[in-house]
Amino acid sequence: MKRLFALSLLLLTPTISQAAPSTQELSLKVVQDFVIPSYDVFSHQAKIQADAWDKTCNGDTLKPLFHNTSDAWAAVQHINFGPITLLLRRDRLYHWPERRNAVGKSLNKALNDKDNSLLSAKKITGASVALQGLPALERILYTDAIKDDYGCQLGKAIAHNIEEIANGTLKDWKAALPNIKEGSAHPIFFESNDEVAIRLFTELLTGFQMISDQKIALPMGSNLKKANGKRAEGWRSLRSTRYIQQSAKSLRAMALPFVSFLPEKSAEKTEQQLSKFVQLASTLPSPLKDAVTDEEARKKILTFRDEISKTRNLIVEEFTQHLGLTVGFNSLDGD
Amino acid sequence: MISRRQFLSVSAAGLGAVLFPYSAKAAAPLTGWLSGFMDKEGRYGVAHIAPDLSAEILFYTPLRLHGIYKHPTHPLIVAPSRRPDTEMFVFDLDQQKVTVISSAEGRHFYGHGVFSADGNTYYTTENAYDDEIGVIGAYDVTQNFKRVGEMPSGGIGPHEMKRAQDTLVISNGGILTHPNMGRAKLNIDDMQPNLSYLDLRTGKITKQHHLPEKLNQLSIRHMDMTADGQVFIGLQDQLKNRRDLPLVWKTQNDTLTPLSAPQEGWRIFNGYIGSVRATPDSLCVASPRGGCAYVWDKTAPHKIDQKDVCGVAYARQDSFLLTSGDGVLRTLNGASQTHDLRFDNHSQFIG
Repeated sequence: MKRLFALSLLLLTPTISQAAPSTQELSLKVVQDFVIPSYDVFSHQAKIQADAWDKTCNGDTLKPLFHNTSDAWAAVQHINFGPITLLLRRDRLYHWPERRNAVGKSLNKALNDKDNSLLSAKKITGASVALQGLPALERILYTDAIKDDYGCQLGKAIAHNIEEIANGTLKDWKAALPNIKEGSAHPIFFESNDEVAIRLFTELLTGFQMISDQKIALPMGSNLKKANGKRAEGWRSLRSTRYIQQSAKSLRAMALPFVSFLPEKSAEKTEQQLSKFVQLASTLPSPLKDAVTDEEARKKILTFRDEISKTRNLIVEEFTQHLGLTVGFNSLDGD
Repeated sequence: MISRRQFLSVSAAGLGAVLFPYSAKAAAPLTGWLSGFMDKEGRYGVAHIAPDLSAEILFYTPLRLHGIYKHPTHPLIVAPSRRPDTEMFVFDLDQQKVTVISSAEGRHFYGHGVFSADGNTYYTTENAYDDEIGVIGAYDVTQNFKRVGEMPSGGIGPHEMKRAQDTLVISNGGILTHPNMGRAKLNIDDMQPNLSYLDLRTGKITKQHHLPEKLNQLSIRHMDMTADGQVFIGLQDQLKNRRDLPLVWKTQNDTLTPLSAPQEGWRIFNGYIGSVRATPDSLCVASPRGGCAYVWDKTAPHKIDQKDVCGVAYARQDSFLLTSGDGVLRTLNGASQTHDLRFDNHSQFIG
């Protein structure tokens, strides 16, 4: 697949037109306004979901809670920095895109074997990442597995596993907050606030790329003939479009703390573009798995994809110019 | 085994995005280094860096490049695209012609390769993605890089490799990807990187080195080999936090041994080594994510701070050239120049 973003707007040496905020101010604001609150919502939704699995195996009750948890996950899905990188948390929560039906295979095996030891918190944590997170839970909920007693028990174990990972990630971020406030190195996650600010900025940019390269490009294929709706994220629960919309909202929410440090005109321009981006996402066709094989719907999706790169490029331009942030070339994307 | 091969030879004019600013100097043999780049307009290509650290653009390409290799005797440059792209560019400096070789069906390139001792064959690291194995593709240089065969790489995700006589030493990074899934890494939980020795006469793997099992999330990616066969490898931590784990290892008594830790700790590399180059007396690695290079030499190992540095190449007088995404070129002898180009991952010394 071609790189979808020509990094053409990157300036080699940004000229800073006014006093840029310190990386400590930036890091603290983004972590306090976006990162911790978002993990808080995720952890909270995951707990509501896990508690419900304790009480029922009724799909109609559990499905809305699955969607709420998935929405909350989508808000932080693009972050691959800090506590989520510990203990394979990110892969365990969300093994997607998946390796050759890895989720289906490990789930079917578990359902066939009815291995009761998997139902313990200790065991599920050590199982294949494909079996541990939201994609496996989606399959249980949207197949007959939920009607099977063992299937429901496994769903319960997975829901609790998700809750534990979400909660652990939140706790670790809260524990790292004093380091950011003091500007000191964290023993595992970062050396300095310079690193925190740059990494959060990088993860924000990655978020735009993730929508384009994975959520859209994978099911779209390079042309109509190569489209494959079953490569869309969360197609079983018909939430592929909702995932994109949630991601778009969350990228806006993550960008706004940065935007608050921009000069007025620049802030206004960036906010407008972010709103346009979120608004356009809300008009995307659904379900995506069918839309990708429809000529007209594809046009709409491609228009949105252009808006993704416009938004990203504007952010790069404004943030590097006014916030003292730089985008690495080799450090951002290497092999 | 030869799968369906696509072989596309086009003139410069026919390929649209591939242009040839290089002209009058075509006859003069190049000295110095080659590097991939991206310019201010977002165009990719091959740049030539002269011994005085001036730089000129030789070619533009429609894709981002990775490793760039000069033929040992002929005025040819080869650049396999990086994953998951399927084009390999062959630039003929004399005839000013570019040939684009497409990968075999079900294969894509990883961005690195080596020439055989006689220069008649070029080997590249490739992904046989539906079989989920790494392969080494063999291309006949004398037949316009016709693909003439392939051999197993000994693992998943082969990346950089080196050759000693009839043996290829291959870094198998261990990471599974599939072009249908873009650049997504699909097996971080159970990856098993290794260093494999492939006998080119038999096509068989003769030896493999592994990291201790608990370090399997460290992908073996870049490497170098000294004339006496000692191999140095640079690793990339797939759990992206600043773990204090050894990221540079060497072969010794037929096992892998970590180098002495930098005084500042392994954390300075932020989990990522981008290039490794060794001379008989010293070793230099670069870490774009750590914003530094590090040299182990006879005197005192030391860190060199350089933002976005990734390329490391041999330089004369027992030195190294560092190249950065900020356009900086500097040798360890103190020479430096800054250009309006982003120097891409690797640079190669060409004499």
